[in-house]
Amino acid sequence: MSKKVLIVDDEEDTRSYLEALLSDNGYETALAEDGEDGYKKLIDFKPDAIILDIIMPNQTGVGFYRKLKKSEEYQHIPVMILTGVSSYKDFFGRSHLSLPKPQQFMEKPFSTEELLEKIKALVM
Amino acid sequence: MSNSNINGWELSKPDYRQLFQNVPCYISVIDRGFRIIQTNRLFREDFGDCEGKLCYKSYKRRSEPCLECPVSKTFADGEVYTGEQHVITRHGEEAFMLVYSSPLRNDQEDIIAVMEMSTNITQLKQLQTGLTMMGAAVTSMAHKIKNVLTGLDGGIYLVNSGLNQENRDKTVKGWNIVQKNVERIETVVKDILYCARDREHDLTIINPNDVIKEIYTLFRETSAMKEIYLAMELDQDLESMKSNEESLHTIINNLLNNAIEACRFDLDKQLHAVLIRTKRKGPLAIFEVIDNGHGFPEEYKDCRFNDAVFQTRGNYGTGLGLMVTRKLVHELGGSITFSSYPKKGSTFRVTFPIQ
Repeated sequence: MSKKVLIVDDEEDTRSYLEALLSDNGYETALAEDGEDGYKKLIDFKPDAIILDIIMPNQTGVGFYRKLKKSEEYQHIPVMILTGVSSYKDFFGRSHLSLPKPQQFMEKPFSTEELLEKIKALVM
Repeated sequence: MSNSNINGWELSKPDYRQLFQNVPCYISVIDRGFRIIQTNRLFREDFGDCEGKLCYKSYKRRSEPCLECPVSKTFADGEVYTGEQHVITRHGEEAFMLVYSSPLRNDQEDIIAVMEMSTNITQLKQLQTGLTMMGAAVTSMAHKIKNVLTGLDGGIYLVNSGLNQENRDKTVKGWNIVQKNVERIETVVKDILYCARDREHDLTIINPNDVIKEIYTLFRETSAMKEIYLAMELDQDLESMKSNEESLHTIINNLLNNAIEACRFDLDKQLHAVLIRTKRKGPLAIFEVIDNGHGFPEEYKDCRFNDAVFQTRGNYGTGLGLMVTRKLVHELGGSITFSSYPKKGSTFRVTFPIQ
């Protein structure tokens, strides 16, 4: 049975890219264009892992992540942060947010080999 | 002043008076009630005759003493203090001053007044602000370029994958993505080139309120979809001015887009609003874009200087939008300032001479 990955990114091209890349490598994918849409898809799709952008409208990646980690039902789902923001680790390092660190960080643009390796490690 | 007096360091009262009057910086002597007792020649040249007036009212145009007033601190403990202050000359020009305050004592060593010595650091602040803006623009642009590069990578992947799988639809989709991101790169390069070149604008008599109404109509629906209340307040006395309609449109359009972005990325409030306002103030036309979004970080708060500093967020534009805005404003002979408070919102103000 294919592992399922939810892709949350407001860039349409990035969503298309990740969908094609992961599908070609045996994953089932669902796409969401922002944090709000992502949470709805999460409930329906029940992914094994999430690839999450940070800078998005209608609930940023940090907002989505906070909600995810507060949910007893979904907090266990591993997350890879994939973003163009260089200081993305700062978002999760801030003590007032009290957020557990995501399992993986990657910066855009990314190497397909590295991303596939990290996703494989996430869903195992 | 005689040479023998200078060599012997025995200057007379008239000598000291001459020194006081001619020193190449601004000097004012202020009493405990913040009233100006004495000023030197350079001070009077740029700020007028302020003796007897309250310092914070006369050349700082404030209704109350400055926050972190160095004069107050010196009166309190007799120490020398320094600070940066924003002032307005008698010609209405804004300037930034580096201020030193030091106590003046009587024979009993009581502090009877404080001397304020100031130097104009406006050009330095402009340079500092410009560099900070450039840093912010480069950071924002780098983020957007990364997304464009990822888009290009994605398009190329889809083309190759489509060709390998003999899937025409996938190949076409990939190629369209490649083309779109090449166009985005063109836009970034054009914005960079725009910022690098000076240009002249054709100036005609326009109705600025008509420009605002058009922009309001364009944005009304999209801001409503994002649950941001958009309003406008137009001063009917501002019915004409000499400007370039297209450039003014771009300026207000950019500011409004950024205000909307600031509201969209503000997670702390449920209700957001943006106001576009026009005002006529004597010979000046003033345009304000006010939002209750996330505001700017602490280090940029309450910047009322001639140049604006901020960071764009989200995926709107190339990250250079506000640098282009600032450049346009200056090319049209105007000035742009802003004030912002973290988590409360921002006000951007663009001022042009009407003629």
